[in-house]
This record gives sequence, structure tokens and C-alpha cells, in this order.
Amino acid sequence: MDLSVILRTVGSLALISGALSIIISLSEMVLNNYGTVELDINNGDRKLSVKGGSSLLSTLAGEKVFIPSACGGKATCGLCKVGILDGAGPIALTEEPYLTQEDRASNLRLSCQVKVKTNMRLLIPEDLFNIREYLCELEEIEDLTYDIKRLYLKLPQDQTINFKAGQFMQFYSRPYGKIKEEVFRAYSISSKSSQHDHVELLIRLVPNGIVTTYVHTALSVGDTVRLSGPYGDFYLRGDAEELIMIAGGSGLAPIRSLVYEVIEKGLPHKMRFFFGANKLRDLFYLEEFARIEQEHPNFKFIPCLAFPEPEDNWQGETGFVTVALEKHVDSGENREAYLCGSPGMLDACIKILKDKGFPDSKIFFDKF
Amino acid sequence: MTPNISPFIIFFASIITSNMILSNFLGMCSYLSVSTEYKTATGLGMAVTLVLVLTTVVNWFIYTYVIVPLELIYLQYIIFIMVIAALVQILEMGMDRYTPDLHAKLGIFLPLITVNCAILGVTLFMVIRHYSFLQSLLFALGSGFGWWLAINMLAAIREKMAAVKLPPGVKGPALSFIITGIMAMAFIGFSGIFTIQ
Amino acid sequence: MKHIPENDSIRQDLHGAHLSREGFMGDDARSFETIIADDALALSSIDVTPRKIADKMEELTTAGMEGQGGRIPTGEYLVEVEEFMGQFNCPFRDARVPKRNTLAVDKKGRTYTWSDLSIHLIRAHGFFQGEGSTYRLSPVALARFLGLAE
Repeated sequence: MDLSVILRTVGSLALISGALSIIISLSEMVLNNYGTVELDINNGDRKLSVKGGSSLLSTLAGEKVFIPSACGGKATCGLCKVGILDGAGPIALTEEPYLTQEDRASNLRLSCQVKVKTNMRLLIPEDLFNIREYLCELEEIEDLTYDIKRLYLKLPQDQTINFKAGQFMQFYSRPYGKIKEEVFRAYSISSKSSQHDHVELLIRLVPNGIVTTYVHTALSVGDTVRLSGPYGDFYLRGDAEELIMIAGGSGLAPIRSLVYEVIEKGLPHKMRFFFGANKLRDLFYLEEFARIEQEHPNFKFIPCLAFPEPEDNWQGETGFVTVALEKHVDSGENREAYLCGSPGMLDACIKILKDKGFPDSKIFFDKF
Repeated sequence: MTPNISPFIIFFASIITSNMILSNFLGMCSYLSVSTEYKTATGLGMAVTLVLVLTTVVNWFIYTYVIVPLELIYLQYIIFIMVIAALVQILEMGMDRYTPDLHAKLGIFLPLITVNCAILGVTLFMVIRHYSFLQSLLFALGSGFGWWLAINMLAAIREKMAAVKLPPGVKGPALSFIITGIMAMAFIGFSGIFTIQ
Repeated sequence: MKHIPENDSIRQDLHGAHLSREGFMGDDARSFETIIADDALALSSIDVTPRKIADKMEELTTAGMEGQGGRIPTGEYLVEVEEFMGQFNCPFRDARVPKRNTLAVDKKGRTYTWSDLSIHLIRAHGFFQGEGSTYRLSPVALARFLGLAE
């Protein structure tokens, strides 16, 4: 075939399609430019300034607010419902099949089908809304015992965290040594829930553990650590006169947070905290809890050593936590129990609590 | 070259005697699938009419001022389709911006229409029959109304027949074909009023 | 030397990094199929099955749990069980076991350590891990330690 015909064909097609794409991009810039709009989430809890023109689902994802969606924004799963008080526009035909009468009454819409064009007021379930990703700076790392490290992490300047005491974070390790990929594990937050710019985690070394070995050997002050969260339904219910708290080892983390929450909010609960360990060298935060005990008559701290060494000069409770529990707690009446620790210890403690008359619904635990 | 037919004759002829669906059988896919409800059928008909008029007008200019002078007639199919696709996209963005209510109703039909053969069909008839600009405009408008009329009639009949007990073999699409066939035969009755093809 | 291509993804996990930091192969050059076959042969010479070994190990671990982390006497042994947060996936993809280490010392002072995953690997797969792996257990010596053979 004549070369010039081929050239002319290819050339004119390229020119025409190029011209059309330029026209489309230009009209997108004009027609799809809604400028910067304000998103108000949960009545002023959080305000976002975003660029309009995309779906609400992807706009929120860009701001690290992740709405669950199984279909990826094709209006086929109906999972990405979000409450929109105003600024949503009319209900699209694509949304119709997924919105029940109740949904419509409570202003629910499919966030993948709603385009962000004007200022909007949104209602997002708190749990979803609070889960975010943080690139933290490791501010402090220290040994609490020979195998437990305390990590104090500073959140990025422009981010804050809202969590319920007792919840946990996912911690992502970076590739190191033989480990070629990112691995994540969950660790309870031990800092106060009133503190929004830092989180504290207590991490015990697991022999041969990927993430804990990373924390204990590869991390140093100033490193960047990726966290996401908060997650979990281990948190204060507070529907009882006294809270019995039981922890072993690094299980102290969520309990510490719980104790501070009760104290800082001025809640009327009495608290007794049984902290079990083997030897003195496994105990930590002793001074801190002793101080809380002095300042707050409602709080009793009962550390128990199962196998104290003679040189430990241990004056406190000796024996398993279960023994102390048996001795100090008489009944389950008007009490709630919060437990965090190894499965063996938890199972033994839960058995005793049940024998004492604690109903299942009053025993909350975070098993490893 | 340009046939000596009044644009208004073309307009009415393309609704009644040369109906896109009932005599040319173009644009059948969306016609059959979106005709279960009268309300949505109306939406689709409106969208088709709108897109038809717009694309035909633009394609008339492209044909007259780009394709013919540059001797690209052998590329006309590709070019027409690209123009239709681009136009529909821009139209959707514009509708979303300026008439959100209309967009909520028609939005999902617009991408569907991009591949509706009636759209390309009207453009190609316009080229083959050497219509002038005004003739093309009214031809597109008439074809749109004709398509709209046909899908509305089918949807209305299907809604009426929803409660009728039918043998399993003629339910659904089969019924649509039978209805369309009968409608097409009925429309033959109009032939002779005027002819454009 | 045995080598079954279908097992290649298992092989990869056994070499570590994904499920466990060090893997399960140590510096053993043999394929895991060969290790299993070799160990089975050695065990058959003293008439002990991997199942018997695993059962005894589990018995000690269960008894050691009473110590809640401390070292307690259990029959002929002193046993200490340490629990950690989380679970381990078996590299053969058929189980998830808790992270738990058992340390057993007998009257002669011989010490053996195993994890719950070791027990599962031995019972379900007859796999005692590769030479040089931290958790490698020599089957014949282990059987003797557990009192299953002379």
C-alpha cells in the first residue's frame, strides 16, 4: 500500500483523537471544577477542605477516611452508605435499589455515587471515621523489662487520634534483614485516651517474632513507624460499681489506659488492678501505679509474683494472679472484669470469676 | 446533491414512516433492555433525543468541514464514533454541573447511549442521503422523537401486560419482539403519507 | 533427593521470612521432603512414630500451662511454658496454632525447647525442621528424651 496513505491515515486519526482529548480535558477543567469545598463530618468533629469533582467515596479516601466498599465504587455492593445532611443533590437512579425507606429517612446515600460539588455535612459512624493511618515518629524507646519495650510515638503534626481506652493499633514493620515485606501486628494502646497527639505501645519480644524482633533490634529514636487504627471492642463499659482489672506482662497496656480514663473522666468506679508476673524483673510501672494508688483512694494496685527470687525481697502477693483473685474478690455482684494477658492466665482467671458469680456479659477480655 | 425535500417532511417522516426502531430496527439493545418501566423508558428516550440532535449537528460540521476537504471519507466511521463518545462525556459533565436533577435521571443512560447504533445510524443516513444542515437537524430531532415514541409505546404495553398470564416461551424479550413486530406492522399503515428513503 | 514441584510454595514459606523470621530449614541443603523421609527412616529403626512424640510433647506443654509462665515439676521433667500474643500459620497451610514455647528439663539436665507449631509439624507432617534451624529437634534423641525409646 502507498506509504503516504498510511501516514495520512495515522496522522489524521492521531490529530483528531488528540484534538478530542484536549477538548475533553478542557471541558473537564471548566465543567468539573467545583473549586475547594468544605466537608463537615459529624457536626463539626472534623472539617475537611477538599477539591470537588470526584465521588465522595474517593474524596474521603484521599483524606484517609476509609468507607468500606466491596465493589470499588460501581454502585453494586451498597456498602458505602454515608449520612449526608445537605449538599448531596438528588438521588441517582443507580442508588435507588440500594436505599431502603429507613435509609432515605436517615439521609443515607451511596458515597460512591454522590459527587462532591458543594459544601456538605456528613454523618459517618464514629468507628469508621476514627480509623486512620498515621506515619509516626518514634520519640522514645526504652526497656521496661528485659523483654518489654515501651514505644512513645508522635503523630504527624496535622493528625490527631480519638480512641477509647483499651483499643489497639496495627503496627507495620518495615522490611529488614531476611524479611522482604511489610508485616503488621496489633498492639494495645497504653497511653491516656485524652492524649491525642501521641500514642504509647508496650511490645514484648517474641522469640523469632518478625515484628517484635524488628521493634527490639531494628528501631531507634527518630524512625518513622506506620500505624493504623484504633480498632477493637475492648473498652470501658462502666456499668458496675467496681472494675476488676487483671493483666499479665504487656497486657498491662490497655489496662493502664482504662485506669487513666476512669480517673481523668472522674468516673465513680472503684478499681482493683491485679498485675501478674513471675519474678520481680518482669514487673514494670510499679512506681506509677503506686502513685496513682496514693492519689486516688478508689484505685487499688495488687501486683502478684508467682515465683519471686529470694533476692527480690518481695513483700507483696505471692503466687498466681488466680490465687490473689480468689483471696481478694468475693463475688461478681455489681462488678465488671477487664482482662488482658496470655490465654492460659486468662482462662484460669475467667474460670475463677465465673465461679464467683460474674456473668459472661460482665467479663471483657483481650486475649493474645 | 442535496435532495429537494422539506426539512419538516423529513421530521415527520422520521417519526412515523421511517421510524428508527420500527422501520430501520436500529438501537434495539437499549430499546429492549430499558423498556420494562414507562418512567425509565421516558428518561432514556429523552436522553437519546438529546444526544442524537447534538451529535448529528456536530458530525454534520465535522463531515462537511473536516472529512470531505481532507478526503478522509474512508475513516468516517471511526471519526464519527470518537466524536459521539467525546460529546457524550462532555454532555454528562455539563449536565452534572448545570442540571443535577436531570443528570440524576439521565446520567446512567448517557454512557449507554454512546454505543447505541441509532446514534451512528442517523449520522450515516445523513451522510448517505446528502442532507443539508437544516435537513440533518430535523432528521435527527425526528428520529429521536420516533425512537422515544417507540420505546414509550413498548414500555407502556409491557407495563400493561405485566399482569397477563403468558406461556413461559413468550415472556420477557420474546414478548418485546412480538410487540415490536406488531407495532412495526401497524406503522406500515402510515407508509405512503410521505417517503424519504 | 526428593523434590515435588507442587510443593514449591510450601518450600518458599519453609525457607522463612514470610511466616517466621528464620524459617524452618536452617542451613539444611536437603529438600523438606527428603528431611521428612530421612527422619521417618531414623524413627522406624527405634520403632517410634511422630504421632507418639507429638502426643508426649503436647502432654508436657499442657501440664506446664499450670505454671502460668513459671517452671514447675511435671512427672520426670521441669516444664516452663511461655505464651506470646498472636498465632502462627503452619507453612503447610493446614493449621493456625498459638504462639507458645515449651521448655522441658529432665533429671539429667538435658533441655529441649519446642513451640506449638513444632508439635503440629511433627504430628501432622512428620517434619522435625532442617538442621541448623533454631527449632530443629533430632527425632531419635527427642524420642529418647521423652522416654519413648531406650
